[in-house]
Amino acid sequence: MRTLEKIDPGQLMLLVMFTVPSTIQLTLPRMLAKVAQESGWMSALLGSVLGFFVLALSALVALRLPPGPLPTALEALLGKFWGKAVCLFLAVCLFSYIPLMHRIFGTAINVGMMPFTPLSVLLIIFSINIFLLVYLGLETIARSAQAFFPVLLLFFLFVVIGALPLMSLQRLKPFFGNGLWPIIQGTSLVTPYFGEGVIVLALIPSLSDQKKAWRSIGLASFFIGLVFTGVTVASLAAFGATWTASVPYPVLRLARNVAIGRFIHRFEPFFMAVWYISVYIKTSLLVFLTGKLLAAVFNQENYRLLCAIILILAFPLAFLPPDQLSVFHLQFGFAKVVSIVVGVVLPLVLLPFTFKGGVQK
Amino acid sequence: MRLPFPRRRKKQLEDFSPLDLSQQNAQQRVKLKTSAKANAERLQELVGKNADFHLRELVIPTSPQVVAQICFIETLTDSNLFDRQILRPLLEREKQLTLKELPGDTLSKKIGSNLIHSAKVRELKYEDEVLSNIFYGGVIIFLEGSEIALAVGLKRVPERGITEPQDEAARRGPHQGFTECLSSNMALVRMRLKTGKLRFESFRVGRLSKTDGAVVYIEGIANPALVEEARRRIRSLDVDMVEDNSILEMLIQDHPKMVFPTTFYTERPDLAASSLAEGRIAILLENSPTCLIVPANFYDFFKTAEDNYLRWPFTAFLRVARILAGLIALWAPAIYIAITTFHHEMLPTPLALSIAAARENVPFPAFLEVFSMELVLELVFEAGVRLPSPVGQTIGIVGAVVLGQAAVSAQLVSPILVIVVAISAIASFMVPLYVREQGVRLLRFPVMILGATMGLYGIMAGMAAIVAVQCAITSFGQPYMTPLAPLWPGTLQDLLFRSSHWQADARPGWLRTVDRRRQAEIVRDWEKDGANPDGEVDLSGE
Amino acid sequence: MRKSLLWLLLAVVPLLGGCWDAIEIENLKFIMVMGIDREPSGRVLVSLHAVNVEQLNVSTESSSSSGGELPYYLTTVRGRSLYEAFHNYFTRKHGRRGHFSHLQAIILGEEFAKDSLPECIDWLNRERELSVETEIFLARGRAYDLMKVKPIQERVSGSFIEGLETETANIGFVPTATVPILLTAFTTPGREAIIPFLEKGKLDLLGQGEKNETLQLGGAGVFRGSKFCGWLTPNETRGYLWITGKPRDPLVIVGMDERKVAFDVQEIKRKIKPHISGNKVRISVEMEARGEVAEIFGRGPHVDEAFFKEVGKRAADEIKQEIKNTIALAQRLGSDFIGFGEIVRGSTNNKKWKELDWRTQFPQVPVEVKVKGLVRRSGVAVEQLKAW
Repeated sequence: MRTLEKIDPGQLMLLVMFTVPSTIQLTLPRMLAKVAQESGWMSALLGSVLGFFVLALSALVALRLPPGPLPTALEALLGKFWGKAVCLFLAVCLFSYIPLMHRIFGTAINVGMMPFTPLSVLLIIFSINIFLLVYLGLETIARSAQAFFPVLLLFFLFVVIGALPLMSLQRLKPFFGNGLWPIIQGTSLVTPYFGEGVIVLALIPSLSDQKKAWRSIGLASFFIGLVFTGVTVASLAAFGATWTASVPYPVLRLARNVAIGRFIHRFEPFFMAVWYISVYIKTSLLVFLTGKLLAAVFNQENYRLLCAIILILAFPLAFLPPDQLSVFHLQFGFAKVVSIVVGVVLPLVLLPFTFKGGVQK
Repeated sequence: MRLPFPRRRKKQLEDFSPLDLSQQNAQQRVKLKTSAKANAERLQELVGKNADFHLRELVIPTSPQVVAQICFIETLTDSNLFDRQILRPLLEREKQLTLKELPGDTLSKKIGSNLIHSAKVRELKYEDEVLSNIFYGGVIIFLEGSEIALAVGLKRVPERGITEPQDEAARRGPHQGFTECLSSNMALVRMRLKTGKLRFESFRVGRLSKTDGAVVYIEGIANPALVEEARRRIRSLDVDMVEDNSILEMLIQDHPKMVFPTTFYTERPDLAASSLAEGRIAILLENSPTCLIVPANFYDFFKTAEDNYLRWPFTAFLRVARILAGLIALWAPAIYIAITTFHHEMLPTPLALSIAAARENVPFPAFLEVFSMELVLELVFEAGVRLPSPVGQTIGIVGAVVLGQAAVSAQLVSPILVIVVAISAIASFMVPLYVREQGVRLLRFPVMILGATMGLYGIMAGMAAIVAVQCAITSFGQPYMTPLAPLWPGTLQDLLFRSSHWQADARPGWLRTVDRRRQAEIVRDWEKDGANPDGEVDLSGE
Repeated sequence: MRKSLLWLLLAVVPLLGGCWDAIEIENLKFIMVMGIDREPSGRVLVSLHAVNVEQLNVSTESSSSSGGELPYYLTTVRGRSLYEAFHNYFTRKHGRRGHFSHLQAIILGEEFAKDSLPECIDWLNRERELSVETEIFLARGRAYDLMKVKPIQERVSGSFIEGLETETANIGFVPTATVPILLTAFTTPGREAIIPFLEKGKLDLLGQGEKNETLQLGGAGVFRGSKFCGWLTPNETRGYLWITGKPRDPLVIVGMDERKVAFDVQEIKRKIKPHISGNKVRISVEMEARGEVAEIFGRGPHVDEAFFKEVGKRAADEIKQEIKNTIALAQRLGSDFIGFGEIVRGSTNNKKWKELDWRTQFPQVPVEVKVKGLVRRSGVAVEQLKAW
């Protein structure tokens, strides 16, 4: 079942759209409400706009790289040793996300849906699913994203619209209640996560139509911004800033409010199931890329074995954080730092090199 | 899949000698002798003890006389034509013909071109040719003094009339179906595509069966790479026999072990013809009333032939309903189990209470209930298929209705469950044959297990796995989930609702046909020509 | 061989999951109504209406109204905290796990609500199983006494209470307090919580005179922060709903000469404007009520356009009076359950809001109310029918 390792621009857009928000999608309104209260949604908006530039940085570097898959291109750019070193570094950074994603996901499911199932069982099933997808190749990941996208869209809309009866614009006022500074502070909660878009670095070489790359990135940022802002606005308008700040997963709370008459209610398991897809695709992508990079570094042909090893390693690491609060700290501390390093610092460092040889695409 | 640890190699089939009788090197082919008698005896020897092999000596009354030995397999030849095309012209002459007068340089040419009243006369030189020809229904005429034998094609095989295929009956549209005779099938397709571009490339598979087949495509539309791929796969086959097109399908399919089929088959010539016009390739096989159509994607299996002939709103509705039905058939039992076991909060309160009340006295957990009920239903269906038709229908009613009712009264199952199982069974019947039988009915059970053990989480995992596998597999090299993934813009409306005939300008892009456009941009051109822009045509003549 | 081993392993994996969260639906004890009281000893008394599912079954088949047992029963458990009472004692004594997802109503006893609202709120926030539609009520007296009342129509008491709430809210006498609404009102600065209350009422059933008891919705109870402030009569509650609620079908009875005219309000348009100058706040409320005439009760002269105009005006006066009463009450109690504070906060920034110190200022804030009433339609009939 070998698939061609080429992806469409549309698929690139979807992959970025699945990757960037997944880490914080469920908790974002809470953190924004803590920092900027009712104006949190403006942080989301601003943060997404700035996030586009972060993505653009990665895209810029990727488009100026010499042709070929990422490891080869880096070696051509920086020489064998440094090329491999950068690959290794990137691989390690991406790898550090994987146990975090496992844990975030497992905790959310435990809290929202199935409180008594032990985390290990959830994660085993999750890992098997990921391994299947990774084994099948990049194209399969991209196509699965395409196949599931309508479902995701539908549920997202459902959740936001379902909260409409509870929403009251009054709760979003006063705009700029605390001044501009908290809003700007809030963007630091949103923008760094766009750094996860560094995967674009690795994906653009596989893009079938390089000219459309900017369009994909732009559209992806737009939609991610829509998701972030929409979810934050819905939470804040429906529940008010104080309550949103006290609930770890405001989006779950929103999903809970979807009720049609007295008939359909408590829809959250469906919503969690859909979030499963989002995290699943992101983690598969991460595992795949890490595997490929490591395979290049160690000169292996078979990246699948490495992916299996990565998953097996990530499993116990997911249990490291002792409780839910520390998971939050990791989400908003460690993950942020890694995103900035990998999404901003790394492309910035690589950028001058791409100009050096006068390599134009 | 290359597993990272070493595999034990299977033993090669080296001990078996080839059964084949005709695949000898060209240098080793045995030529015919000049003596007709000797040739005939040699043929008798090769054919062996066969009750239907006949040998007849004929003296052709030309001057000088030519003695001919005629050999044929009686069961395969048409005796009427034999009479009319061979015996009578050779034996009944008003006046005697001299050999010298007959045009042609060799004896076989003289006799064959002039005296035999048949369109299909061939000259054969080798023994193996003669042997294979006679088993294809040919009549072999050995001429004394000639090393060349004549073969007249007088094949007649038992055949049934052209009837509508049972499984693909359409309310509107032609009621013709393919039969087991390859030439009739070819005729049925040619009737519908009278273009000179329609090509039938013949092939032969099976050492024992030597079954004829044809790869059909329209040159100038079908992608040549695709045609070559089909040719390549068929050419490489080395099997004993191919009983039916389904065997051939399994031999050339991308993923024969996969639950969902990746090649489409049909018994309707109109569907075959329209698929050919789209740019696909059809494969016909002798003795098989089905026609394979490649490549096929996931959505093709939700289309029926009738879709094209009914009006657009209804077809759109039917198509959406079919896809929904497929989903329900596959997931409904599992979701029922998952919700009643794990996610009780999703049920509306009155429903939750009545389900709980109904299940109060049932001794089994929900999973066992559903699983056993589904299993019993499958058994009833299979039994119904095996039995002759009146009994089969009765069994259906007895099994489904009475058993179900009795089970509910005995409080072995809850009534809600019976409804869920029934709905899922009915939904599965709405899905066209292949996906239903091979996909839905089979996958239902693992999915139920997943739902019972992990609730909606398990179902989601199952769905993700199924979609992942479907996204990865190919049909003759084309991705299976096209045109949704990878996305071909513009084809989406054809997926869900069938695009109206007058809007379907282009052939499906994912087939990468050579010629994209299949209709004028404005097909209903007459609309703009009407004298009255409101659409009414004035018949009063004023 | 290796491949089939792998498949076997894979097949075993799903069997890992499941035994933890799986509960067969018939093993759940559905709790329909919950009442919380505070005992003198300091413990919490939780009364529950639990559904007896088997009885539901029986009643479906025999459908007798003389009916032996009700499909639900009342039980109580005690504990030091809500969850302790419920979890420890209920589960231990009743052999099945209680299930809250289909909880219809929560009744807070007066004593409990007076000083323990935050505890209740915390539980409402944390409990995973609660659904969005659970309504919260106060009880005058003990919740337990209210729960002893048998409902007339419904077999399950929860639906009865729920139906009661919906219909009463429609005519505008009672605010809705579902879980998210309550939690939002509790946490939003500038609003206070308002919860409807249930009390016992008399009902004449089967010709026995007013001997039967039933539940009825009174007005509401209001809070100031977490402290209970006072009760509102139904009319005062309606004043609140005129300003910020969404009553569907409220009726205003207007006296016109000797007749009583029922004015059915169908559409409400309102504008609340805060005016802030320095540290003083002034609020103006403008409202327009449009509706139709539902009934003209009594005998009197001819009905014409001027009549309807007058009805509109008098209805507007009635509404204005109700609103003013409510605002006055709110200011007296010091509880801004109407939500003016929220609107004031929305029109200024947070720093200013802190300076304003709404809770102290609210009782003195002048509120100007202007109501316009319009009879949009005269209803099915225009004139009164008179004998020939």
